[in-house]
Amino acid sequence: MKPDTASLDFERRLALPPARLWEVLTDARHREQWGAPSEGTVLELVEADVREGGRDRHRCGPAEAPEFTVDTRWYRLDAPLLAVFTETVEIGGEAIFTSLVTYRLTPAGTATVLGVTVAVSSFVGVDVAGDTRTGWESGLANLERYTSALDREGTA
Amino acid sequence: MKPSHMDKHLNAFFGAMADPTRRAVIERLVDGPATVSEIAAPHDMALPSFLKHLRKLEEAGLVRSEKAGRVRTVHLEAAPLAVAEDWLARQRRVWEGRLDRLQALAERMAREERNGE
Repeated sequence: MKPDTASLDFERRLALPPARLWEVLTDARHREQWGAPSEGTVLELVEADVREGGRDRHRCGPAEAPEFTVDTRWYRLDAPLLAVFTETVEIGGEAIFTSLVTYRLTPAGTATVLGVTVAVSSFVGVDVAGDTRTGWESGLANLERYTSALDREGTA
Repeated sequence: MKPSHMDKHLNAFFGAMADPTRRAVIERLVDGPATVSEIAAPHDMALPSFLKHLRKLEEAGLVRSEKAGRVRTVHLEAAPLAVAEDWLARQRRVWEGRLDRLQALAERMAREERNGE
């Protein structure tokens, strides 16, 4: 299996001091409000255990059928400056991708500069036929794994 | 919130692809257009059943077919596949969207706290 990987960096200036922003970033209820993957989807809390070594779970997807699970594992929680966690998105018990996420909070007056580093690794990016037709092939391999999972969910 | 046009599009698309026969058809068509009998040959099923699969793929906009005389040729439609393919761009969009919502929430909370003082 050959994972697709990417590293993404973001920086935002946010209108809350670090301690307040920290709550919004780490509290499982707050995350329901901003953490969904797109405007048309929901993130619903299943269980939360926000501490180093703890685990949160959210259901995620279209409001009428949030069939994805987001599994968050907290590795480092140095309030209010540094948080490190992984976020694994699953469907039908099968992991689609995992992101290792780091939040760095830097005070900036009454605001905070938030740096986010996301190292994401897809488990469904299998290249089934070598590198010659990667454009098509990787898309199809993704589909195959994804739709196999949907099959098992009985949504076919 | 309603699912976006893109989400609906993707749902129809993944629904059509949630079947091994239909996925095999798409994989065959990656190699180039083919006639219905060529695509059907490797599949151990009656032609009417096979045509139903083909129709589902057509309805989802994944393939289109053209008839010339007595031969129907099936082609892949590139656009819906491209939507599913753009993984990295999607990852980036997810985080941009989250941070936009986080920013809006932080601004609202900051405003409320100022007003409450």
